[in-house]
Amino acid sequence: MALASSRRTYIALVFFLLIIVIANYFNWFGGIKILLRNIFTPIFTGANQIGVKLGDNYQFFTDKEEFFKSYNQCLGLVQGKELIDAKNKILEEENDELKKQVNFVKRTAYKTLTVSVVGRNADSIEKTAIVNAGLNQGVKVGLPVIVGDGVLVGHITKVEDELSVVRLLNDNQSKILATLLNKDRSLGVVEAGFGTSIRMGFIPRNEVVMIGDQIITSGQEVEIPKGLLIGRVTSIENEAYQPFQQAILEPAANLEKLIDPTIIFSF
Amino acid sequence: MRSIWMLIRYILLVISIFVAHVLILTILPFPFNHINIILILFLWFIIYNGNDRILWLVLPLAFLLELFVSFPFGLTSAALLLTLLVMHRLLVNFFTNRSLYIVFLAGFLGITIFRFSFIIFLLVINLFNSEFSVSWPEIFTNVFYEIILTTGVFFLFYLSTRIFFKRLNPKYISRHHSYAVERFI
Repeated sequence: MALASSRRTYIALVFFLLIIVIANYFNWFGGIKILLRNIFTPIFTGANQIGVKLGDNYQFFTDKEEFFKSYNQCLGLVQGKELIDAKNKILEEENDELKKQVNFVKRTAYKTLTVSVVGRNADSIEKTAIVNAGLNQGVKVGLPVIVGDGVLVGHITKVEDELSVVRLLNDNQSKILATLLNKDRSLGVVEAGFGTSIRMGFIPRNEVVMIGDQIITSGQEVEIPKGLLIGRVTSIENEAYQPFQQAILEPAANLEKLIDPTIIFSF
Repeated sequence: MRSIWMLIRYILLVISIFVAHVLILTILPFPFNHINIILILFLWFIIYNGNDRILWLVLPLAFLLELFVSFPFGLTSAALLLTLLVMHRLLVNFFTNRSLYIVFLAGFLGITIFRFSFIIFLLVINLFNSEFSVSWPEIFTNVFYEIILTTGVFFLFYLSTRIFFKRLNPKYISRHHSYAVERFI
């Protein structure tokens, strides 16, 4: 009896799931989705901000000596902090002025939109960021997302009315055509590596790659302009039995601590 | 009135689980952010109370998850629902012994079925949509961490709650003791 009841529940659940998927396909959930996103986005934003702050504070010690060494370093840093604070105020004023200039230069070169990260991926298998601009702001799939002075961090992969999902460079589905700034200007594909690393594959074996070489976007993709910095080479894998060599990269931006990235619309 | 109260409780439970999931994903450092709290809690509910009513919470929870992932709509929900249906069936009809070995196995099987069904659905979508090309070594590294950590945390969670629940639940007063009390009265 209980078995039959459970079976009925299973069938009903699968049936309702199908209904939900079909309803979503025909966009019947438009209003509900916007409402739920508006409710839960602040939670994502808050959690993201806490995560970014805590990211600086995690530190693991393997022995007592290491702990005391770090503690003494901290004391030294605290003493130097007051001096830095004073200098910081002057630098802040200069920085504000420089930002205005840089923004002006950027505006004239590329059409851009600076957005805020309101959340991170809701599934541990992907590495994405949710930003607060979507279709209503003119965002579309494929647009590149940068930080600082032209450092690529990912591209738009999904767009909703007021939100977009940025696929970061270290996501397992990210693939960007890139150029190595070596003598041969080698071309390759930048994609996620193991763990948190990024690698550039499909580099011809006869071309010389050096540790420290910079990697930029190749400009061969419709939406992504040439010359956006991706990272630098930290190690090279050139095996005799493989047709191509590959380079392991260190991204130029910290992909875990995005706050206000910029979307490039046209160039 | 009772059903409204019940509905509010269920909504609060769904929201709490979702918020816990978001906090773990966002705040904990790699690889601890791979702990799948949703699966842990649902398996725990199934083990403690085999009632299939709890399975109805999967749909709203999965719908919330779908709003914030970049995978095609329905992929995560289908994998989660399939896993919980299989685990409910196993835990209620086959693995009825609640020993620690079974709990460990349930945790391992649950997260493995979830991730592998997810990967299979992703493969099927890959056949029709080349946009979702994936790096398999990366996915398998993540899956490895997720399976190890989720199984471990589920086991520890069950262990800690078991001690607490057994001590306070009158069901576990031994027959010998209850008889003695009866005679004394």
